[in-house]
Amino acid sequence: MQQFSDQELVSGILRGSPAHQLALYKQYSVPMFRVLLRFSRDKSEAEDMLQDGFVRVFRDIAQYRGDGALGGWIRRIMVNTALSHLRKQKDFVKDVPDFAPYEAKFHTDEDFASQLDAQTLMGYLQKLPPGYRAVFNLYAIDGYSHEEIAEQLNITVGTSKSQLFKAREYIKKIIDKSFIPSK
Amino acid sequence: MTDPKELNSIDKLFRDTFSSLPDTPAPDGWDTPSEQVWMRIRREIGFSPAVTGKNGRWMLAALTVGIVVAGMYLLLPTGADTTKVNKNAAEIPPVNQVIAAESPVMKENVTQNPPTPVTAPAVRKRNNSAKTPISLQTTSEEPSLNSMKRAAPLPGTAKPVAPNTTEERKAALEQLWHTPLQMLPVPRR
Repeated sequence: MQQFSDQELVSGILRGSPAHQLALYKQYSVPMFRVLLRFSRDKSEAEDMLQDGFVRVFRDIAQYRGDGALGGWIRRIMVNTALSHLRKQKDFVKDVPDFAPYEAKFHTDEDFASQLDAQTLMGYLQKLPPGYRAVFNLYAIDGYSHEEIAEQLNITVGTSKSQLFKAREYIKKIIDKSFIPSK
Repeated sequence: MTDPKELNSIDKLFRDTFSSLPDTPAPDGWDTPSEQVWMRIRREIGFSPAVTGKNGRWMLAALTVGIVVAGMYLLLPTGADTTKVNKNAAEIPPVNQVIAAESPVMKENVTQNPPTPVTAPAVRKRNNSAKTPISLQTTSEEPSLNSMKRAAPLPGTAKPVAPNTTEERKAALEQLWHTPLQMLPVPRR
């Protein structure tokens, strides 16, 4: 597959070149799919998000001004697409009814962390309720502030903080349940 | 209560793990979308290899021409249809016949082909002349009105019996119909 610069990709897609469309997809599908896997409950949902995200990218490519990396622009579109998918779900941001702070022996040492690969952590994230998953992703991994998250998800800052706290507790619970018995 | 350090380590664990992923997809394919995704994207954005590029343009052009030809074939009357038109024309003298008879193009055709019998202006080129083989041969000695009387009735010369025409209109159209026939040249023998 021929490698194109960002500018070449954009201008080629604007000309309607199928080769440039495919090249852009090949170049960015895997990293964007990894982002979307974090926001989705499974691979199938992530593929739906990826499809919608790339359709938006091709449709709005003329809006890319070239003042930043194309990958960053595409990633923002993907995250927004993921959030729109999550917002469509009923009671997207809600508390888990039987949720209680989890008093677990959470391991923080290097040895523990080294045994968790990306695929395993992805599986843990996907087990989270959608609201917890979205807030944890945006805050802990993508670096959004609570104010930005509240605006993105149309919730209050307090709700964002609450969802983040509960997401962390939930993750600890999932990790301990799946990790400790295997030791 | 959870130790803040512990919480930060959770965040850090996830952040570090996902930011240090290699560029190449995992061998087992867990982070690779299926081929169907690209097919669906391609379908949704309206891109198809068969209809893009030069081939696609040729196909679109051929399709357009085909549609135009099919449309013309359907819209323009065939021979059988023309007969129907002529039957109607016998009832109501068509204006286009009168105009065609008066038009200079018609006159030119007649003068350029003198041996050819002067035929009544056809409604369509595809008109089946076998069904309406009316020809008029006029001479300067014969008054045109007489020739009209002796000739087989043209579709437009029959007495109009259409219910919607008035006597004045009939008279006017008949007058107009007569005018070009009087101007026809004598065939050279």
